[in-house]
Amino acid sequence: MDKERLYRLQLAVLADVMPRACRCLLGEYGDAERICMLENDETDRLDYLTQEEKAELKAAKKRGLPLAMAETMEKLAINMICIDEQGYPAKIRRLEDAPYALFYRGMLPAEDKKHVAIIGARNCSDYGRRTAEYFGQGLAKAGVSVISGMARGIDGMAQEACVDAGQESYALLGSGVDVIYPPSNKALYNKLVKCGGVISEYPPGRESLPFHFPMRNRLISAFSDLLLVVEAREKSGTFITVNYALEQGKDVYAVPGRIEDELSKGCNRLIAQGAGVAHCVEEVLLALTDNENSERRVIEFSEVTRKKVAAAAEEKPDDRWEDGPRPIIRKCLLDQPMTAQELYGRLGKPDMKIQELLTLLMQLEIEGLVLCRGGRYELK
Amino acid sequence: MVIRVSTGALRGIDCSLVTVEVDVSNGLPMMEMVGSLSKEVKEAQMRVRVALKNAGIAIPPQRITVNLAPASLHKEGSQYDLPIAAAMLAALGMISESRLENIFIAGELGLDGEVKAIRGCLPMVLRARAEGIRECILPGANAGEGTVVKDMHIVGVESLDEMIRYLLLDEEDRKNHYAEASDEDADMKREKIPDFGELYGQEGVKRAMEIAAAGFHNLLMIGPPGAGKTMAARRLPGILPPITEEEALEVSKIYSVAGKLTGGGLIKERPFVAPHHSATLQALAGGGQNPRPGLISHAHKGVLFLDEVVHFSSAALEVLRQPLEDKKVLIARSTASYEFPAEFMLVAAMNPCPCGNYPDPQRCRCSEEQVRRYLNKLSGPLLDRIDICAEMGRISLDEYRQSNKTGGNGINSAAMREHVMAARAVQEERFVNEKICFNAQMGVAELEKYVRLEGEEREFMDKVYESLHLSLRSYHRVLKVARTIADIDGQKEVGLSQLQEALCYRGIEDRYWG
Repeated sequence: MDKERLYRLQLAVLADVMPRACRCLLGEYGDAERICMLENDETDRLDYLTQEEKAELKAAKKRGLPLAMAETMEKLAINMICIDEQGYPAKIRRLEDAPYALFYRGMLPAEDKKHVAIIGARNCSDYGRRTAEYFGQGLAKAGVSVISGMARGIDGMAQEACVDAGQESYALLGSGVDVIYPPSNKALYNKLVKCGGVISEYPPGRESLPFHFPMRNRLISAFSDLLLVVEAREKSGTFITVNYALEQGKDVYAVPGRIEDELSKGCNRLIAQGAGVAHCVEEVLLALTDNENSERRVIEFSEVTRKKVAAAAEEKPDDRWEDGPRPIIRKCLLDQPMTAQELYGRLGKPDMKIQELLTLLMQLEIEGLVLCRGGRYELK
Repeated sequence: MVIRVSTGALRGIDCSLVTVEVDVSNGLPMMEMVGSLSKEVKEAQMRVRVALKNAGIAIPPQRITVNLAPASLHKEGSQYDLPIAAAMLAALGMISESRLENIFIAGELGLDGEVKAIRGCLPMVLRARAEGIRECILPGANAGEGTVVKDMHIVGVESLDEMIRYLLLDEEDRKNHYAEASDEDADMKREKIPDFGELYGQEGVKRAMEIAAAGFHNLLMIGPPGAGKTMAARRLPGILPPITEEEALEVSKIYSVAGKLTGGGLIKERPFVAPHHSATLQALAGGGQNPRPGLISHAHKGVLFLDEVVHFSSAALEVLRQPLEDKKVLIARSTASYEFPAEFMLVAAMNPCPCGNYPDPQRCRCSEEQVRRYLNKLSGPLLDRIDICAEMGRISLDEYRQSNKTGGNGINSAAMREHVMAARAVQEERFVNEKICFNAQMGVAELEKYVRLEGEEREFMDKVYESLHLSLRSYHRVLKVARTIADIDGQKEVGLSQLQEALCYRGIEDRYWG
């Protein structure tokens, strides 16, 4: 890393602590090296800096160039792009509080492509999981990449489905790009680095703090062209992202759910407030391709519906589901995941013993048709 | 002249014979006691002196020496008062020396001469019989315990006077004083065991309980609050196989040593012990300077039910590991180490997460990390020893009404017990030449012998071992449980459906932890 970039990195580290001050300094001096090398008495003269910020600036000068961090970045192939450099995403530059630098592994989202942010509850239901996968995969196949926060639940599921379908996906992190949070998503992280990218405004090594997440949510919405909410409770962090998206003028779509589902209440509320109804991938794609031409949209939409009906007629359920009580089990589990006991009650077959059902469920699990998660069986 | 009387010292749940030797000779008037005695035994001299005085017996101003032999054995407890008093009476010439031969005496004295109850009478009488002694004088309150042992003449005395009177009787008259063996069983103060038929809509856990009871498998129940975990556990004693004579004697000995064998007679039911989760390590394992059996020994040959198991202190849970492995608790003290048997069936119940509703996303808002931390409170080694893990769902009002309407509130205790008994009979036959008696106790060698997988079954398990990422230990557990299921179903060999069912009960570490 050359000297100029090292100064930029030094400023980026400083911008993590005092973003406002750095924006002002950059406006005045326009150059990272000049800011980092400011004489102490000149720093003292800057009346738009608070005492703490002045102290921080002096301390940064004293610490010198962040050589160790530069080394880590080289080792892990972490890239940095600064706001005054070519290639800084235009979508982000437009933000009032655009971060000075973006760190990323892999790539940055291509400017000429469409991106959809898929977000939702971490503790999602089986329905949410399936929907996230459906949209992630469907959008990927249509050449749209998914942007999200690599969180547990909806975020990660949608991204995983997208990457698995061969399309790039991008994750915005609330920590440094080399800090994998949550740790359980390590496999997904590795996939994203290879296919897509992991992006953060925080310098490498930075641990995630609670207030980082709302900030990274503004980047999730800024990078995307449309925001899709899959599952959200009435009170949910998801709405922070929704508010950013509305501020930034993005379309917001929500996946409808049953009115009695806690996890769908937030989505249904969004729809009531005027969000688009994401009832199929095509609907979202239409919203992406052409927002202005509503007439064309209707025509295309009816075409899509026609195709869908035709496809549904052709589609056959897996014939492994056909034997004995299996169709009813599938129907019950399609409704919602349940424990063996609940399923037993639902089947209403008094002549069937509980152990027979358990045996059958085990067979289904081994055949890979159902999944047992914490005692509840769900469709795979 | 030295007078000898036999009595006993408790060691764990057994008893060693101790001889009380009393010598009265000329010298400075004093009474001294020797023989490796603890404080409460040394105090005996005061109790004995005053009790004798209050009984109107004058102690001559002579030198009295009391020795409890063997001297190498540390002696604790209050049972030495009465034999010392008896020996002194003989030394003073009030009763003949020969009358004290072949008699076993134990009991605590009050200052007014009252004879108080002591603990551990049952092992003492057993020891006396083993030593060839046929006559025992015990506190009246403990006489019932003694009558359990056959061919023994037990005399219960309420006071020192009564003992003196008895010892002066001639042979014919003594017979009227022998305590009668009571027909009643020991009073466990247990309420009537409720029936499994009252447990609505939890067929899954009932089946798991049936299997656990049949093979003496340790069981873990996981479910949201109100699913009926505690209710199910309370009904478990009703389907356990009956206790054998030999087992009953061993259990009664533990209760006797703990001073809890009241009402006379053997304990004829398998114990069910449910300690509160605030129980300390000592309360569970047993302890005290003069160690007594803890709650896990009280559950010997029965059920130890730990409700809300994750709320037990981790030290208390870890203490279960040794008894689960070795079937006994060892307590070491500077004077001696004590061994209490503790072969119990562990039944534990817990919520799946701090709020109790995981994995229901409608109700549970616990983070993955919280759930993991909660479940991790159960240590791996403890989980390794749990064969059957049953999940219980919340029962909706609809389901409840449904099962109520059809009258099919499922299987009841009587039918379950029948299954258990059938499986028990098969196991008895199988293990007739082995040291074990239940499927759960099978080691790897026994598994190889009694669970032979061939052809289809073998192929299936090979496939499952890989696809479900089983550990070798959980693989063995599945085989054990499958064996019990086959026994219940009346199958000679373990079949595919038994293996499949057994896999449904595999441990949570294979399913929740991932």
